[in-house]
Amino acid sequence: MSNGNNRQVIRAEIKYPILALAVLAAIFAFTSFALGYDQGQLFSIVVGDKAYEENFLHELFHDTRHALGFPCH
Amino acid sequence: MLSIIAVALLAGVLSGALYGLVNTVLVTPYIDRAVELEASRLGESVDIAYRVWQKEGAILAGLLAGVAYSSLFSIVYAYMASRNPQGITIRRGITIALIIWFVFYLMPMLKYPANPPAVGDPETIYYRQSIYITYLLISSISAVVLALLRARFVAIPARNGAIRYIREFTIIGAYALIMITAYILLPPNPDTIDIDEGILVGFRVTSAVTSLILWLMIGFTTSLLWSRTGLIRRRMNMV
Repeated sequence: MSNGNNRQVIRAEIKYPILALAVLAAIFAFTSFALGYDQGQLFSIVVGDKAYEENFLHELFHDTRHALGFPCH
Repeated sequence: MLSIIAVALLAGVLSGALYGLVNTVLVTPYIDRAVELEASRLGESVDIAYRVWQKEGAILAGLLAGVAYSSLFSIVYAYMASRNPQGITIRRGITIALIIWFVFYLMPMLKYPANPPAVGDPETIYYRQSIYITYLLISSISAVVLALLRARFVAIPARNGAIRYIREFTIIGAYALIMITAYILLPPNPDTIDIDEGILVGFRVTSAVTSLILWLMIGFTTSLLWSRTGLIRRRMNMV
């Protein structure tokens, strides 16, 4: 029951855990590195120094690295 | 928890797919011309099969860029939403996206502009990466610290509108001062730019346009998904 002085409002509530934001930060850091900065470091964990010569991710993401303004060759 | 991550990933994939598509239409022709120019300088012919593979990679990279930047955007958006849930709208999401694009893309471009292939020297790649990241971090960290300071200022009641304007101009002025100082102090790109002016300007303009499309799309889809998936819970209250 409401009288003339009562107002109906919409109350918004936000609920999110810090862990979700930490996961998003990790996703951002990893994907940004792979996309814009990797020069063979990631694959070198598996295949060793050969990864620096092949530079697979650099070459695969070549066009987008340029388009996003990351330093490239 | 999962819903926030899922929304960020979905917004990233959708935005990244569009970004990959517009890049293919707008930016790739300039990259093709630059690659041809580089090959002719070396007296070689362009490896067509290799270029096709790189163009396929550009679609994958577009998706990855969408996911990466959408994750960053969602962190900022969640912070904004926690401070003022009532004010979180699609318009606000797009405004936040525009600010991040300015801080994260346009500001670094003013010092170290995007260059097409045939400009960068492979020998200087690590050096160029280090000065680019330094400038990017100065811009990003300054913006975050000043945004947090602004949030504290806003919490203090202002006697009149003039004081509120002075606060805003102080924050913007501090960011400008930091970036001008960094611009002067950091070294320039060491590589000589020796490429057709039309390719260079066309590439830089289309690069800025497509990255803006990416950020705006992330801002729009994230805001829309947050409001449609119940991440912002709206309850009717009688007061």
